[in-house]
Amino acid sequence: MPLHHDSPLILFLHDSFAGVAMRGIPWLFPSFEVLHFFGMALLVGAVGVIDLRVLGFARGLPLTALHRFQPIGVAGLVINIITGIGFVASDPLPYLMNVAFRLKLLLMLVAGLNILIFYFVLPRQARQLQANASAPMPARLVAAASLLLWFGVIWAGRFIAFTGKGTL
Amino acid sequence: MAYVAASSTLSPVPVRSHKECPLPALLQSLQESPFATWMLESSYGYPVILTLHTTGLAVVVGVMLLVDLRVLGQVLALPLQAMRPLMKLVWWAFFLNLVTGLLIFVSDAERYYGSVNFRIKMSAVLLAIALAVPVQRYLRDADAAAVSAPGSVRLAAIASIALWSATIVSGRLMAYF
Repeated sequence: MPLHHDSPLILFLHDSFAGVAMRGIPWLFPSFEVLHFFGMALLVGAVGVIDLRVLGFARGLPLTALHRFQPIGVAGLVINIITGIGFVASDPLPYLMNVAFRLKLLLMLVAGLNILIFYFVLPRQARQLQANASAPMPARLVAAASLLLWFGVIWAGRFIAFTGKGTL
Repeated sequence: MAYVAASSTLSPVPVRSHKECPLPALLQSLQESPFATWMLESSYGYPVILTLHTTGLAVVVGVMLLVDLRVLGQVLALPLQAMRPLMKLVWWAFFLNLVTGLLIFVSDAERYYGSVNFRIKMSAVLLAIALAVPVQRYLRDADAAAVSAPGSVRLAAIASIALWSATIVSGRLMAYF
């Protein structure tokens, strides 16, 4: 996707309220970074533990109860989408042209589809494991994919900073 | 408005004064070691180690938060005993971060030693990890029918959440100050 300094998308993001605020308020970018790391921990904690339980780790935990931690994962995701938009709007072109950033978006898209499969394609009982019950193979595959994808998102995200944009 | 490349974000290169640090010879020899040179000059050493450190952080803080919340009385349908494998996960991830953290420290020892945020972070990590011990012991020893943890354990869980949060804040801000 060829983007230039004056591509409509770049201009829109750059001149948006988020872009102006992120560039104009000195403490905002570092604060968003702190929040982005919080969001990451919330998301990985909630989603990761649910995935691991489906894979047979900590079998004594009923999956039905673990799902009560879902709002924590959702909160982490929402925080990170908001702060992530802030980072991009602060200087859109280098982010949108960055290979690691594009890979991160792709991985998030696949991870999102994977969640939809878990909740809308797999049979209900895959999500309602009682303590010590084993998950069927399709659910295990989805859980393994989820773990790999979300850790891939972290790795790609970290490498945005090493390939040109953001802060180490 | 014409597009202008942003220059107003803070400089990613930390500038620090060492005037108050004693600069022990050890720190200097550490950061002049072949390993430190490799960390700073290789194109993948530092990125991979820092990314592993970030991964460990997400697991330690994310999973510990769930344990702390359970101890504080959230999601009582989760049996305390069954939460114990999660602590094993926390300890493994902490070990990963201890090792990667040491490697990162050695790569630029004087700079980290002189950083206020580094000192805050180390203090918070030490306290937070110490508080994981009573929380873990509670998971092991608590009566299965217990609905509420003793006050001291609840306090440890609350402090654990606060201290791990402080770790993220000070760790992240080390890139600036």
